[in-house]
Amino acid sequence: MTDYDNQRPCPASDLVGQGLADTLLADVAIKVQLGPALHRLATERYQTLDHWIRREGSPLYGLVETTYAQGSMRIGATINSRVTNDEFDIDAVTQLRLPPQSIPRHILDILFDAVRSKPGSRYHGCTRRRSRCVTITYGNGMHVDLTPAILQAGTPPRQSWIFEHEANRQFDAGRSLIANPYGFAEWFKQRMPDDNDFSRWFLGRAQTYEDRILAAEPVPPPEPMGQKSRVVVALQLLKRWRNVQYDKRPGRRPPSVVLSKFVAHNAAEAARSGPGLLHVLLHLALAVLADLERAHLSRQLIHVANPVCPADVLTDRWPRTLDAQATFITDLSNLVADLEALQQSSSIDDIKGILVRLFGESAALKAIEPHRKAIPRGPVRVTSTGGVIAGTAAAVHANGRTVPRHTFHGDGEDGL
Amino acid sequence: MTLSTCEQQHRMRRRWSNFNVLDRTKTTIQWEGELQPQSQPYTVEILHRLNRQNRRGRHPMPEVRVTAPRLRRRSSQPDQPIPHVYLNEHTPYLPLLCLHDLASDEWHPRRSIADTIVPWTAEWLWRYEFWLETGIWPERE
Repeated sequence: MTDYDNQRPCPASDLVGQGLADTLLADVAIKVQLGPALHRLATERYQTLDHWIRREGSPLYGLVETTYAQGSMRIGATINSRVTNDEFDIDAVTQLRLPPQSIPRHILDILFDAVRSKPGSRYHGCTRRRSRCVTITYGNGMHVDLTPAILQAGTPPRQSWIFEHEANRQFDAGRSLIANPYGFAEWFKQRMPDDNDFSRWFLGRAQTYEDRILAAEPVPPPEPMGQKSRVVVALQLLKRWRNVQYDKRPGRRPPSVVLSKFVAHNAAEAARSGPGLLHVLLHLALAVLADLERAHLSRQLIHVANPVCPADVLTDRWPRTLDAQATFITDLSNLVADLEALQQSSSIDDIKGILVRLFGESAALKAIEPHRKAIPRGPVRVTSTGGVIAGTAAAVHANGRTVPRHTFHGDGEDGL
Repeated sequence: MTLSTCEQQHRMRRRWSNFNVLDRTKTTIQWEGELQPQSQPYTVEILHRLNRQNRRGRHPMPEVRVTAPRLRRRSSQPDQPIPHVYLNEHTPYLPLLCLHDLASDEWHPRRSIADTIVPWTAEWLWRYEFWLETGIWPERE
């Protein structure tokens, strides 16, 4: 027997059908996602913003109907927006009671003024006017992107006008666009397959990690996190992988909402593709790749629209060129190759190399280190019955003999 | 100098009393024995043929297979083969352990099987148990 009994590694997974790679992928997602405590903090922040812009004396006093989460926050797929630190972009829509024909530049400027307010007020130094929203930056790296919208009468729930105007183009009125991020999120959630066993397992793992974070940082206590299927976690991994690929590239990256649309469209088939998270992620990557390649072969830019609002074109800002599209196709091909290699890997060093390449060093190492530390290393001794003594114990143990150095070789064909 | 089957058996008996000879000629020797690296005992067969070159055309090398319990893939990853084995063409359900780099001189017929192949087999089985549990084949370094 070894001295290793009291430090057995965490099993690859106690969930049937999950292997080590699946567990490590889930751990990467946990390390980069908005956990329950930060989720609550983010919700409080955009709600506080809603109260702030409604205040007496605000240019939007009496004109704010509601403020609600949109995008990844609404579908439970928020991840940090930077590769090397924990910054989160939270998207919210503030629905205004203004005439639909209002000048886009004015709408954005009014919201900017309402949030920023006077010098010395709470958001004055941390508010930025952007082309479609107003961004508020908080001390812990969280950003809230507040998008002004005006309801379109007589259309499906919350279908709205949103507005685009570059702040530095003073003589341009900007343009109005039709959007329905609320309808998109509802459509997305309806398409998520039931995945109760995985959801429970993932929640337990995420909660353990969250408990460690909470022990270190004073943040509000968490509320139970929503159900998270393998498909949603795979979407978070796709977004993280995309962030890593585009971290140092100029220009726009494929928008999260476009990835979300692809993922939801292929969710049912992906969930049936195999038991593990890796199967699901690989299936989704292949599906996105196939759609993009189909468009690219006919020299077309991919066109993705909001399924509940065809006028809401999700690809209106990316890709703008065939080159941009080709770059992402190459990225996806590499992703597929890496995921296929991951399926065959049993060496922790090989797995580490792939995860670092896909998800960046910080997230991959955080996920892999606990597993790596549990692996016995160093010299090995064997007793007269074949008992193995390994690691530090082998160096001091009197029993057994040191095993001569050798290299386990051969791979791939067991005939089973 | 190559050790004869007689010399190999002499060393085997001295170190591994629970390994018995199943068959022995001037050029071939086969043992069966039991090893318990950690959680359970395994029955192991070792076949050494002095007049046979290995697939790389180098010196002969012993063949090691585990007869009980049979080696298996991880239930959660049935597509992933067992690491560090190679196909046993005669009995495919009993893969042969790959205990050393065939291209190197880690093993040579002048080395004692009792001092190399058997402890390597125990170590292989120990790492196999770790792999079954975790999906990781723990390398030495």
